[in-house]
Amino acid sequence: MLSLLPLAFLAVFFLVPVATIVLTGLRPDGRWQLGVIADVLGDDALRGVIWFTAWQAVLSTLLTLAIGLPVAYALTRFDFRGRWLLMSAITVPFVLPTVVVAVAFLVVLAPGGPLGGPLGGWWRDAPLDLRGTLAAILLAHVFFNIAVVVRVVGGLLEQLDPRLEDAAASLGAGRIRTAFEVVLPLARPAILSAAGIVFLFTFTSFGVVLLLGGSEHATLEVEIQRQTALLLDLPVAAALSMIQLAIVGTLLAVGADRQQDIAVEQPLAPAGSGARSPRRASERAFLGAVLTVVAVLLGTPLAMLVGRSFRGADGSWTVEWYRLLADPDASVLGVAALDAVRHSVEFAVVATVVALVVGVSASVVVMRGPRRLARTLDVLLVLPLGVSAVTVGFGFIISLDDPPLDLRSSWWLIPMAQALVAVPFIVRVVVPVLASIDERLREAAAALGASPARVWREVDLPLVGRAVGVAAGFAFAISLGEFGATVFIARADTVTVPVAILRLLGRPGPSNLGQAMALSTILMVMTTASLLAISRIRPRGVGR
Amino acid sequence: MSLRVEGVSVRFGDTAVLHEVDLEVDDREVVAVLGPSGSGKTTLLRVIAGLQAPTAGRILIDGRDVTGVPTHRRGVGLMFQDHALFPHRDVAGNVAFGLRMARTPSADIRMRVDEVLELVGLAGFRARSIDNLSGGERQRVALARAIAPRPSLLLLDEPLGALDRALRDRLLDELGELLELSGATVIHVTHDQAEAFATGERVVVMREGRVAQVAPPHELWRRPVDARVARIVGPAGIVPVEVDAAGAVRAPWGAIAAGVVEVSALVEEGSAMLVLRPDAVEAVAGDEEEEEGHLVGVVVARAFRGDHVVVRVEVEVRGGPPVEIPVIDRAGAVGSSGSPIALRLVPGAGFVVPLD
Repeated sequence: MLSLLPLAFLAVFFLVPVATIVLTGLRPDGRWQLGVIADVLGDDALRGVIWFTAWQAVLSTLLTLAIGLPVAYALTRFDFRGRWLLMSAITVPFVLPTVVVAVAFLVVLAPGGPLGGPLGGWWRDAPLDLRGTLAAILLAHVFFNIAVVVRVVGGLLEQLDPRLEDAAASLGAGRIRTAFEVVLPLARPAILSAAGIVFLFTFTSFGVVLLLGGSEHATLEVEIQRQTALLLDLPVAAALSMIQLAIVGTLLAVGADRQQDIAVEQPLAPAGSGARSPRRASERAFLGAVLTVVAVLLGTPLAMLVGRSFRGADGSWTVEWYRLLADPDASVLGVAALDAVRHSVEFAVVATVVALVVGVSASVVVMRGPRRLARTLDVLLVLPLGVSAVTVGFGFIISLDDPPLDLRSSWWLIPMAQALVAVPFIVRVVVPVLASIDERLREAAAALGASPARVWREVDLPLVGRAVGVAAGFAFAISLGEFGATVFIARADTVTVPVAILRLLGRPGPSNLGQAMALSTILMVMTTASLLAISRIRPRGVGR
Repeated sequence: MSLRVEGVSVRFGDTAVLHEVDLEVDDREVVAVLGPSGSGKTTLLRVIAGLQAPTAGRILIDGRDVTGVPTHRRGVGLMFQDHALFPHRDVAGNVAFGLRMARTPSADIRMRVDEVLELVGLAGFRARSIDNLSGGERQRVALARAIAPRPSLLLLDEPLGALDRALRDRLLDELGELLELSGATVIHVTHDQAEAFATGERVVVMREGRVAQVAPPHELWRRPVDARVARIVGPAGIVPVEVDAAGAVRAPWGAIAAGVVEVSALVEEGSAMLVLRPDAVEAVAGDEEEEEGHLVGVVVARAFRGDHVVVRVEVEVRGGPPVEIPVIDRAGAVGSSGSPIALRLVPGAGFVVPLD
């Protein structure tokens, strides 16, 4: 019974849309035609898009590992003041909406920014505009995904028995030797799985490439959106979606045995057993360098975004842009830009509730259900993560517009799409916690007279309560910032904040840019605050 | 409440964990189930509790077949080896759990929780967090939680297993008294012979998924069904002997006088085994050493046990490996390792069992 809910949800909002994409691509006029895919693969420009999508993802992954691994090592092996604050702060970029990050980097990379000025002066005596370059895309990808590396690899390093390092030291290995010969080899599975996740995320990157890549750079996601929204060529869009599905599906199948590590790890208990104070000067220098890189890389874009949102066209401090958000006449959206905030919150609340109900019941089935069903659901649940939001949004548009289910103009379409994107995250958070509950606690409760439903309420629920809170926070933050699917579905009267930002950026003029900055700042604050607030809610009866 | 286990078998795939186990326990009886790890004793307990469905057989409580009744409707108290206390509830919350499930009015719950905590010596611990309890305190909370709803059948799975030895010895006495006070029928599973003897009016010895013997502790100690049960129950020297048609026993060192050792009714003419507990032999003083009928051996190890010393003596056996016999040396009369020693059988203490 419990399994019907998640299965029905996935069938209607995921399998049907994806199947429709396949049919649109292969049977454009009622006959099977495999020619579209061949056409796409034969088109130089489109082949270029596939090629670019792949190698920018490889580059992004390598860069993220290069910066993220030292950070993960420093944060878990060295003890210093503010370590746990930094651990939490590093997670923030990961949950920030892509639009916010893209806008922040637009500020940083503009000719007058901290990079363009000096670099340009040294190179060719004129400020350099880094917007629309590959460097911009890579920087934003690293910014986003450092959290993945630090969480996944750091999570493993945190549990690493410090006595192994002591043993290596007693055998004559210095700290660097120990890092390379003991710590890194042991962390290999986590490094591989982090690399897989980062590759997946950057391969299916949409918002960052759309806003920062300019007209020359397009990933498959961006191209799908372009073919659909601008060129109205549905068969080509469907073919591109299928190619992406095939590539991502292959990657997921290869990494299927590492599924458990995907996405979000549980917040770690501050045990800090393996961490010790840096002793020698070289260790302090390493730690200082790592912390500086993190602070600059993560702090600068956000600080500059906030700063710019309070600067007028003439460079003076002002709250003008925030004031304009409430003014319908100053908006290109037809309504006051602040309306988008209300829409976003409404959608996110509904999406979070739906995602929680579907995600938690799916987690229970995955953990306790009949084995075959559990496995099927487990695999089905990762797919939306890999299939990417644009494909989902595109699928919604072309599948849910006919009877029996005509939802295209329905208000519910947006929260359902956002819930679909959030459900895999919820399952990844809740399942490991359910799995970690000692079976004998349930048996003890049963022996004391608790029925299976009562056992769930008295034992499982309180013990996963914290994880469900964390999951809800993620779901809400994801829904607030969801861009890829929403941008397809949103209509003039249901514009969300990220979509509003995109539309503002598309129009010229300092007023529109200023409002985009202000709206991005508001969205950043909303996301961070909601994540912190919701994850603190606990079900009644939970002591700690 | 009386309990009856009828022909219960449990198979996991191709492995038989329990094989046609029969057991009867009277109302308010305390039965200990003793066996090495892997003997199926915990599985038997889980079948009785309803946590494990038997592949075959029935469980009857007071004559009623409860084989299909789920755990939460069986009304059994269960205490786990590692206690399985609810980490999200305090001491009182753990103890009150079963009472809440039984919809006991909250005033009564308060009273009963206080009463039970008092009983296990944890008065004033109500609001303590589980995290801050010592091992012994956790064990008491687990016991209090199990007995609070007044179950008429109490199942204990290695209740002292996770504790260190000194604490175990101390709690063992208390456990015996508490079990009696609880007024329940008790089944106490353990791998520790001292625990089984301390609590069990009868002891069930399990081996490879079967019940090997059921007997009161002294009977089990003195008259095991075979040498393997003898070893499970406690230290013993096992000496190969010959029994003739008249029941006379011949040991490797010579004939044993009639009446000195008892012969099991299961023994047939021919080869058999003589079980010698540490108290079934005693060291002979130096001046009597050469007397007829003594066994002569070599001390191979000494272990100081506080009020006595256990000596292991190796005795040569013709046509076989030497056997080791544990001997209690209270007087400190036995020499150090390597020194020769003469032993004499204590009349009525040796027991002859069939070959395995």
